[in-house]
Amino acid sequence: MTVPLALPRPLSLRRLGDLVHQPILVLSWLIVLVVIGWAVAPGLFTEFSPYEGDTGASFAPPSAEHWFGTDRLGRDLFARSVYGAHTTLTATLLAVLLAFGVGVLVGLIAGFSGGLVDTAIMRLVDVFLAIPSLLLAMVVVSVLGYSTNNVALAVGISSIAAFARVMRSQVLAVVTQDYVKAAYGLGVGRLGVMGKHVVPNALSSVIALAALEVGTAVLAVASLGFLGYGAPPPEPEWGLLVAEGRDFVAVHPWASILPGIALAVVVIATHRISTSLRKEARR
Amino acid sequence: MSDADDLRSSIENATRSRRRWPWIAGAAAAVLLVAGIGFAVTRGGTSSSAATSGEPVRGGTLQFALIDYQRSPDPQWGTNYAESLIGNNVTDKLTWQDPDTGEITPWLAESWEYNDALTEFTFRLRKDVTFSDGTPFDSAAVKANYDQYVRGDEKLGISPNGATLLPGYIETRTPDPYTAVVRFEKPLASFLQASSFTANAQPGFLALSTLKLNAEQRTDPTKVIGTGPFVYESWESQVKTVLVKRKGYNWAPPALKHPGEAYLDKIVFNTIPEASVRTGSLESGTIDATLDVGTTDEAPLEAKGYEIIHRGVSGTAILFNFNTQLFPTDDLAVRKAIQRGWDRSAVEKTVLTDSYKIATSVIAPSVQGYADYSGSVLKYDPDAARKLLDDAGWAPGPDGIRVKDGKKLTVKLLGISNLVVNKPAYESVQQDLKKIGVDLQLTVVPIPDYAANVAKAKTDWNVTAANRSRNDAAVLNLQYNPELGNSNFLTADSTGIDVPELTAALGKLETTLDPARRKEFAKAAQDLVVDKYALVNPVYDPAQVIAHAGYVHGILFDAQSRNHFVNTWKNDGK
Repeated sequence: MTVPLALPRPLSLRRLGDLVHQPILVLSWLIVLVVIGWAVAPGLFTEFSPYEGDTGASFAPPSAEHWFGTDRLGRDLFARSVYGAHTTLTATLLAVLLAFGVGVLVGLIAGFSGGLVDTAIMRLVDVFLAIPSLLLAMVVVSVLGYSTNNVALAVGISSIAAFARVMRSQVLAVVTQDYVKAAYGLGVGRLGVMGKHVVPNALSSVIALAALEVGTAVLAVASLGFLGYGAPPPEPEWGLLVAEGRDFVAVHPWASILPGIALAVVVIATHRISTSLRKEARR
Repeated sequence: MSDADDLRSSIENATRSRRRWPWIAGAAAAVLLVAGIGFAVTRGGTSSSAATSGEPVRGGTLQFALIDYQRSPDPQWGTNYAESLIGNNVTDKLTWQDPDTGEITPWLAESWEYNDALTEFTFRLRKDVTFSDGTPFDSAAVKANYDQYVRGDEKLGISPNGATLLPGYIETRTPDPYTAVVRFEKPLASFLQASSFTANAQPGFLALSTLKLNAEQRTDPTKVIGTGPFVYESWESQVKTVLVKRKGYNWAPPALKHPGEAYLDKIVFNTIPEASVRTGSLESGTIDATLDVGTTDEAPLEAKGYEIIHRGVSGTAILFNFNTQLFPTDDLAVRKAIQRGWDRSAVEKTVLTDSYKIATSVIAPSVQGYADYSGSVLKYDPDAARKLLDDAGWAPGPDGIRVKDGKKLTVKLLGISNLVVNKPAYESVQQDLKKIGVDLQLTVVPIPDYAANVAKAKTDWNVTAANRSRNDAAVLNLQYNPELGNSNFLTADSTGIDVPELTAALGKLETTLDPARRKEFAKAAQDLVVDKYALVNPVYDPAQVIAHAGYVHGILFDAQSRNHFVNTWKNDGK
């Protein structure tokens, strides 16, 4: 399965210029890039170890040295957030890739085949959509065992249905277009039409959805981490950081709030990017 | 989520609705969150603590909070703190153990004697005690309770809850209605303490009508009948249990010097799983008292005028029990290195409050016979730990974790997350052990997950971390005797451990009630368990901590640190 991540239209200088008028969008991209940086090379962003604390500096409030303060064991919470990005984002990426890959394939088959196959697949998808995704993810993790990879798998499985549905509706819209009929008229085979005309034209909306799903998946992964289904201690993970801080939220509120805000900012940024991609898809 | 659904349907319908700025919603949520926290911090500042103590006041409802909930109202079955605590207020025991001295004093039994062999215990019962359904408490009730408590009842689905507490139970004889003779196959010195036992799976007396019910029927709280100072009004699993005062109760343990009925009319035990919510509920006045106070909340609550009361749990410390059957904890050097390899002062400074103490032996200092190992094997000495591992052939690997015969020194721990202190304490130990080349992997989960995993403890886990409450040195026998608890999975051919020696040393604890000799036996048992064979790494002595409003008085911790409310009263007029 190839994953076409190309934007529907190539970036031009003029369109880059447009970005100046959308500071929030630029900020969103910056945030996402920085967080990706955290995940790839956390050592560049913090000098502290996420695992070893200074027991003398237990529950230090946010300061120039410890931006997010420290936790009970004196570990720097900013460092734990930075290193936590790796765990959370890897799981998120895996989840979205899985959901995207399987969802697109299922939606394509359903939309392109039509008839009984379509009905069978889509009713199955309906069943999946009827189950709250977090609940489904919890069931999957409970069955497979607690680990970050299983959390990724669980979140991925629970988002397949959304991708399948969007892909199918796009395929259905595309196959009625004149150029598709024309392609058939010119003697292009079904597979050829599918590969050359249907898939590329149907994908743009799905990509916008993928960007949105990144935000949703970050939240889902963090939720499972919060509930204790994810990484084992001392591994930092965003949801876990929020969970660890909640027992002393009245006394040391930053321990939950700052990682929580970081989490929220990332989700909102991906949401904004998704919105812009959706507009692109409509142009 | 609704945003996401919006987007999906708008993609499918291809409408051109203009979406609201998502960040406005996000910012609003953040503001609300911060405002909520601020509210949580400031509220309660006005709560009055102007109450004065003095003459106890009768009446009123106590709203009490705890982390756990009762899974069934049957106190003999209960295995968590809520279950044993509530059971103590619904049922009574034969004897009462003084929490300070450990002495066994009268309760439902006025007096007792025992034979020299410690196999036969004769109790003379009070004659004025009745169950709350009006039936008398007599020797027949003692017999029926003990028989079912030890043997269970397969037909009714009742487990043999007391089998480990009363090993070798033969029968209870009833020569007359108010004399009960309890007989055992072999000496059981700890039975007197067991007759007062108030922790998990406690021998609280139930009416004959209750004993006839199956496990399912016992979930109807009104059918669970005891002799205690309170009776069940209602029970809602995972939400709350409501007890009301027993009319005509007049047999509190004489040691408590409590006259007549309980002071309170009603107690509501509310299950509140989140530490911060329990604290907030106390500050807002929704509840009057809470157990399981978050460690970081103790000082601020005290500063606001709430009273913090606590007692160390008598019994074992929070322990790492080593699996002697599984690599690498089958190696004595590894077990000893772990004992010495973590910094007690760091845990003390960062995790524990004044209510908790670092463990200095396998049992708590409040248990008679406790011996102190803080100066010897339970002392932080990373160099000694490294040397132990070096000498045993564990060489540091490329990632700092030691290796022997190509296998890594990875120790898998299974623990319980119900005590707020557990996880950070274990993480602190984990940090230190890493420095000496031991990779301690933590799986710290809620009780149901722990119970599911512990079934595979023998093959899957190097360490199980838990504790056991019992204010008697015989708790060592329950935990470590290969014929009883066998927490270390010892077998006849366990390498490097003289199992008969250990069994004999632990068994001796049941052979005498002479305090001096028991102390000597307890010391010998601790020497083997803690020092010679290093079967356990004690971490900290757990405590039960209650925060209550100033108008609440007389909440009592018993010898197992469970609470009794017969003496409790409040004077806020509610």
